[in-house]
Amino acid sequence: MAYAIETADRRRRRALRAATPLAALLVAALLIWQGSNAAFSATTDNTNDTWATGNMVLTNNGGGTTYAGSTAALFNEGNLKPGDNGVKCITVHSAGSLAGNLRLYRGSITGTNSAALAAVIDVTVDAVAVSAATNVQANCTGYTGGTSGAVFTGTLNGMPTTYAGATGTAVAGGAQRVVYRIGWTINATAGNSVQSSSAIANLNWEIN
Amino acid sequence: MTAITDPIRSEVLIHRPYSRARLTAGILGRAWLWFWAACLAVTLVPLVFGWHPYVIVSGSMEPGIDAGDVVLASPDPVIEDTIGRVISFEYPARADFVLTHRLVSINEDGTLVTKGDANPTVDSVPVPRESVTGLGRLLVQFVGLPVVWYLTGQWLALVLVIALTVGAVVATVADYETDNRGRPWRRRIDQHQPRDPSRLLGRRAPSIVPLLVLALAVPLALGGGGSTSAAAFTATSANTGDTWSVPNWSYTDSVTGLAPYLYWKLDETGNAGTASDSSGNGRAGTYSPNGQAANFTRVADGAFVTDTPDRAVALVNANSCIYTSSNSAINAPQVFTIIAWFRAPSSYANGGKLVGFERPRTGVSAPTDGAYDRHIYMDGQGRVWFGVYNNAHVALSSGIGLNNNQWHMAVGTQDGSGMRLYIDGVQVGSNGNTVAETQTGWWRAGCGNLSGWGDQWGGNNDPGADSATAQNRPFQASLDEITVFSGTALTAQQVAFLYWAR
Repeated sequence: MAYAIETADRRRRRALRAATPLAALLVAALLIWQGSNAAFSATTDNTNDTWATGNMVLTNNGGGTTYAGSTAALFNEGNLKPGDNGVKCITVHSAGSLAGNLRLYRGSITGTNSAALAAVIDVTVDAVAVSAATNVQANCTGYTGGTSGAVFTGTLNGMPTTYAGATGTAVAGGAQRVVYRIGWTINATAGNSVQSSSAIANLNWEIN
Repeated sequence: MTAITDPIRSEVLIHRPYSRARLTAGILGRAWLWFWAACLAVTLVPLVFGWHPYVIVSGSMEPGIDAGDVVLASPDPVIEDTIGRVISFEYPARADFVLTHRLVSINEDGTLVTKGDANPTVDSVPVPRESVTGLGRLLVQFVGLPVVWYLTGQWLALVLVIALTVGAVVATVADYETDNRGRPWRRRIDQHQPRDPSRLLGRRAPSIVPLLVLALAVPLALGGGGSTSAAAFTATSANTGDTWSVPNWSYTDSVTGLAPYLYWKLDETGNAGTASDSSGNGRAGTYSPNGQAANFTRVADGAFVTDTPDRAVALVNANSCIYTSSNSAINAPQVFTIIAWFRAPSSYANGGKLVGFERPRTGVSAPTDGAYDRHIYMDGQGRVWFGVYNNAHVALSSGIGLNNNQWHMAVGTQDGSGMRLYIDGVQVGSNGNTVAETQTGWWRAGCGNLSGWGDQWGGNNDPGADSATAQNRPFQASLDEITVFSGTALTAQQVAFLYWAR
């Protein structure tokens, strides 16, 4: 039997096998280059909001009927004295495609002598999910959650100020609404040193 | 396939001819292994230079960065040069949470504003500079997907990719041919032929390279070389400027807002003989016998500093008193509130009437032809009483010791639910008595008959020890803010508020 002769076909096959890793490396390199370029280029284009097609959008009705990302104050409570109290509702609308965890926290408190006043404003917050067609306004008509969804009990001072510190409400993907019922009381034991005070804060909702 | 015997090595060699299926599978297997090996190598080699790979586990940086991509971040970026670029940082709002987002701007206080490209809003918490762990440099797509699948429990995909890799190894190893004598191509037949490049990269031996990379990658990744970073979806919404405000409440305005029957603030100066009525009803009082210093001291530090002017009067004489000026007697109300602010020195043991309803208008008379109840008085031990006459003496009392040189507020109310006595805004006694003596007369402050009252008196001037029944019991100390409500019993909350508003 003669020695085998390496045919042209066999050489082609061996070359193919040899070329495959090179091609794979090339594809990997191209992908990395292309991906890095797209993600890390410092052009201002990339900082533009792409959220029109984004996955999380959050608005609230400010206690009324019009939903916006930022709404005017739900609470504007003046001429207060110890024992005064009130309850209002506000509906938060999540329009994202993803499920998330919705939380309420407050912004920094400003105003005159605000720390002393905020320490004697007792706050209770309940949250309950409603259908996307339900719009509960400031007077809480239609709120049916009772106190089952308690997310905060404490003083205005003690309200969480970050997403991490707040109690969450699970929200599914798609159009979802959560009604927050916020009650407040000026503690009856408040000293008269809180006269001539005001406490002003934003209420922030965040979904992650 | 023919079995032959190698005359030199005395082995049975089997000729394994070319197979298109084996070749195709082998090529695909090699491509699969080398692709992943290259990606992993790019991911892991920069560790040597201190770069850090992050597996992105969520999609807020879409479309640039998807979940499953690996971001290679170089350490210690110059923050000022990275605005608009992608940084990895420990997000302050969540513990042990590395976020990879774009640096949008720098706040005045030096903290950083960051945002996910796919998020409508910037991240809610500013990021301190020292939290930045790296600047995104290289993006290796897909290679972190198994980690994401593992974290999110997508076991089917994970098993599939492992199976594919194992299959690729098998297909690569299986793809070889032998010559007619059954010798693998690796064994050179003609040493004079030029070197075949496939010796290095072509077949089984080179296939070990990607396997080695894969085998190294797992422990490297697990050993802390790599970690995950979120590119978290987020959105925020705000209700702005919610406000609670407490004004500077005025005690006087609060009292007049409750529509008193008469309100003597006793803020007069000099020798003024009239105690003006701030109720708006024109029911002035008369300083008796006159407003001169021999009878009344105009006190400069009244019941509370927020009163303007902050003044009161002190009764000097045993016959000092403040009477209703009008001569017309009125029917005593069954629903009413009386308020007196008082200050007595701690040595004061004489007691006396602060405010009450009495006939005659001035002076005192015997119980048989006069009348006196609906009054607040202090006994000899500094205890304050609120009493009405309902065929018997019905009285509520505070504790002793209110003669402590401090201003105090005493409030007595009666309505259909009974009587209540408040000291300094706090209820100290109540009963179910709803009826007081039916009589006509006048309101007065600072003096009057107490005969028959004061059963625990103590101290001086005990009415129970009186031989005469027409005995004046003046309160020879300071009085302020004498107020009467007719037809209204203030609630506990209203009383507490008035005291709080002082």
